[in-house]
Amino acid sequence: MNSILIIEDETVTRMMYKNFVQEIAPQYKVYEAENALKGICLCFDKRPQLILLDMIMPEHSGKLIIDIFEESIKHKIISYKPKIIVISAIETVEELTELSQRITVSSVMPKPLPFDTLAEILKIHLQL
Amino acid sequence: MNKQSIRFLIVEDDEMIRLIHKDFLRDLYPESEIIEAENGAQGICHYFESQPNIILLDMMMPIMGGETFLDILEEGHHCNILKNNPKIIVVTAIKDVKELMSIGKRFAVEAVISKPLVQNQLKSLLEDWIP
Repeated sequence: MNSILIIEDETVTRMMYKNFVQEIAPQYKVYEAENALKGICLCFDKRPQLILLDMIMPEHSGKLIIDIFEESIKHKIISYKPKIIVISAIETVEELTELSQRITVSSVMPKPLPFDTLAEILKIHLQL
Repeated sequence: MNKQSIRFLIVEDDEMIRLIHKDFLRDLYPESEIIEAENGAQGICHYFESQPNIILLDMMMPIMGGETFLDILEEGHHCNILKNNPKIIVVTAIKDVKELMSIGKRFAVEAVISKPLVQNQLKSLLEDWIP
């Protein structure tokens, strides 16, 4: 079944994203992870087409997930390649530049999230 | 564990050490499959892709170290996402006793061995698991 994974540490924010995604793409199953470690396990286990990834989380940040997928792609370990939409309260140009150079990152969204823009992006990436 | 179908994963950034460990394993279990990873990030991908039975894990590596590798597996088991339970042998240059103890106490870790790894140590460990 087609699925989407939300990785976000704040419960309320995660719920908000989930409700929104389910409205835009009701045919997709939504998985949730409250930290990067669980997110990685769900990624490989459920293989979602798309990941909404919060960058700033305690202990392990979203960068860990991007690092792992980049290594996988560079060394051709796993053929599975999800679309990753990074959601981040970007504060510097350097951070934005660094993120947009990552080959695994499909889009970068600011936080707080403008939902109508996210709707457009989801429609493009999921071809709805 | 079956001698013929056994799958090893070596996660180690030093190419020479990786080669030595690979030779040890090949010598002990010529029919086994041996997969190599240069860091924890590659290691975790191989873990999911190949489901190894036994992992030799270095702790200090670039991009992602052994600590995070263990964190991911422990979280996965904690949330009942992971089904495969490989035996993990940490092979490390860490000398600090307290640090070594805390690694040894981790749920996912079966054994901790100091570098340089001696083939006999590895042999006696593996003999318990592989008939």
